[in-house]
Amino acid sequence: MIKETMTKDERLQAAITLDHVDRHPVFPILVTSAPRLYGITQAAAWQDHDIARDALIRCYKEYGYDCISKPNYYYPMLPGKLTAAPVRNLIPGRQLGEDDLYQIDERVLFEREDYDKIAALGWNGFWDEHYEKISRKSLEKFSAMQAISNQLYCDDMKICEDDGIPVHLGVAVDSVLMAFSLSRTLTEFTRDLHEVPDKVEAAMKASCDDLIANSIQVCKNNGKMMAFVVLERGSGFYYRLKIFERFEWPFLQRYVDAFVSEGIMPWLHFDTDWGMNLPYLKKLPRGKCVCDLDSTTDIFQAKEILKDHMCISGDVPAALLTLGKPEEVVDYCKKLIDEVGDGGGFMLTTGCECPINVKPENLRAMVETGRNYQGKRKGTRASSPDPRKELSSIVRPQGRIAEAFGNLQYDDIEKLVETAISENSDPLDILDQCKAGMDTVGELYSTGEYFLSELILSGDMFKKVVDIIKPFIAKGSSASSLGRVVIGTTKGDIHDLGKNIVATLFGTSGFDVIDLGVDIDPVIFVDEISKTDAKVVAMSALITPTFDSMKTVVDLMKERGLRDDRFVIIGGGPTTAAVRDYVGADAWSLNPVVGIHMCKEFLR
Amino acid sequence: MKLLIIAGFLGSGKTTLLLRIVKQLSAGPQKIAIIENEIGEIGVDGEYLNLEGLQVQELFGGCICCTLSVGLLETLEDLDRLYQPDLVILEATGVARPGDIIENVRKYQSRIQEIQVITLVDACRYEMLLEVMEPLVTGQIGAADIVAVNKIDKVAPEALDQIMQSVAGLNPRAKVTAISADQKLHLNTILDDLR
Repeated sequence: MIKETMTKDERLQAAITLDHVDRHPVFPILVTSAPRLYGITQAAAWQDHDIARDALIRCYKEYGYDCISKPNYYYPMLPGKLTAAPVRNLIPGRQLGEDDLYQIDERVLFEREDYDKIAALGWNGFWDEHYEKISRKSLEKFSAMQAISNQLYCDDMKICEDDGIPVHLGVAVDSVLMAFSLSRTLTEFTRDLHEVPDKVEAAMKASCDDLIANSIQVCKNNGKMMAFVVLERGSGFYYRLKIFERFEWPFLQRYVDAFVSEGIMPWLHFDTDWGMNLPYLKKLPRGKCVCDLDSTTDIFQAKEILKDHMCISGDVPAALLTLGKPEEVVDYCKKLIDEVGDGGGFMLTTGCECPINVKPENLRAMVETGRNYQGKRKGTRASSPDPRKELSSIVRPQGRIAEAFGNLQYDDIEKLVETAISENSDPLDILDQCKAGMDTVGELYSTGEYFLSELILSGDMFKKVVDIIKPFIAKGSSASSLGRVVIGTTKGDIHDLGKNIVATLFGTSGFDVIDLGVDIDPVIFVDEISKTDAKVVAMSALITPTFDSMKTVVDLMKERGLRDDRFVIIGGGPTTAAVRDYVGADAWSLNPVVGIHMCKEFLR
Repeated sequence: MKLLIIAGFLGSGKTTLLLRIVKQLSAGPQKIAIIENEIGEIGVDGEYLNLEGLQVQELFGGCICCTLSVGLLETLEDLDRLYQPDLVILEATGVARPGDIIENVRKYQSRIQEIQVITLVDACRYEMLLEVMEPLVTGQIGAADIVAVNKIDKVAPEALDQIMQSVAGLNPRAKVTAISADQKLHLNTILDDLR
């Protein structure tokens, strides 16, 4: 048993702010399964909030986790003001069987012509006018129902808290894209995105602030400063990144900025696979949000991308909890604690909602593992409370050239490199130092210590160094070529530093390098592959929109019969294994030496 | 027990195809069961189901991760226990990637010996969906053994050729065929592989 030295609230807050915790918080997102565990039907729990609340309290006490998600089946809300699409639920005991799980009855709630009206009236103004048309209820009746529902939520929350049970959910709000997709249906909304994107965007822009303001008001009314943001349909599971970038990401950033500035913690609930979108989350403020994953996104990859930046919660899969054995649950939870919990910033939770048919022994195995297993590695060690201090004091790399790079000593760098060359230093070592220095600059930029101008300056410094050492690297290269490699940064991206490092190393490793440069049209890229018959194709990206043009290159290669017997490798800051799969490449690496080794292995 | 997954985006004609092929397949000696995971425009006719006590699942709109995957696995278990079919036909929800279903079935359902995937492509909307919803569309096509380009009676032959080529490029190992489930055109190109 881990010795507990924090309260449940302190533990949760510390996990979110990436500070030290005595152990990782553990709790299931559990609502509908509580009545089922005690033989109560779903219909009964829907009809009587006392029954639902008592089942949730009983479950909390029996299994001993850290907090409950909601005090009953209802959501906190404002009378007459929506924080989500007003979808109709099919309720057990009414439209469904007594013990069925409730379902969303997805229907078209407004027509394509209504986008203009929403753009003019905003989210609140539109629904004030439109609600009665889609419902058998008047707006007054609807508002009254919401008021009652909210009152029951607040009353039941107080009962829980008086019993010492923490409840955190302040509001559940759809992302703007989610609200629109649910209001139009997935099929119609997808068609709208294709056929009238400007109208959709204008309506979303007019709705975003209302959804934010409504949510903030709900949180303030019930005194719970946590916004559960429902995100599903904007993911890379469904749509191309260009859709995410235009219709989801700008609004999500506005949500997060607004909530954080009001002291509300955004709990970003990501359903489906968001692997391709994860790098964007690094742009959200550090230690302020939770990235909540449902077991479809690779949580271990998420940790790689978001470690020391955002708390991750998840992701014991529903199928494991329902169909697995307790020992399998224990093993998976231990793996999560060892890998995702390493260094803190983790909460052990269910992947999305705890399934209604969870086996009690599996729920118990999850909670007890969370409470008792410290982890193999550094476990719950504290992150530094001051990331800038940590980076400044720890990440500084070794070597004079690396230091000069990190400190941006523009005037000294040429001299230092020339001196190193004259002292017969290995040019590759100089390159390594430059790369380490560049990494430092990048990290100081991401924490706000350096500005964009300083980032650009470091790029110029790097180019200077490469020009000086290139002739010396070439001397060491192999006489016979291993084969041709076509390398470049594809259309939409003008970054070339990483690509230049890799191109240089390809050359020194014995490859015949055809470096196409930056912002290369996929057709030109593939023409060059065809012309040179290069067996290795390497593409680099520093910004996420480049993923699509990389993919176009691979698709064109396939179309022109150039894909077989060729090795496509990608790399660059935002790339991941999921991006490799999306692009259709054979390999991905962030380490140039490893990447080149992969290419050599292929040619062998 | 074999599993046949019929995949494809919402409105691609999965329910219609299901009804057509069940009629043909049930004429043979195989004992067939159906799992309906989609809210379709047309309900699946009970006369083909003949599965007393087993409901038709309507789970779209719920949560793919925590509702659908488990519901499907449990229904497979129920079918095996109560009915012991030779073949289970699953009409997957329009937002499912068959690869994800296969992964879960392989992990938790040992009674399924063989899995086959037919992905339906709506010829009328293919270009639009590929433009906007490329990850889901390629995920569905990429996992298919057979890709059936549906609604061929509603597109020009040149457009159909382009779609067939594009689909073949996305999944070179799949058999690509052109059908109209509604007009019952070329359904044998699928049935021959299923019998």
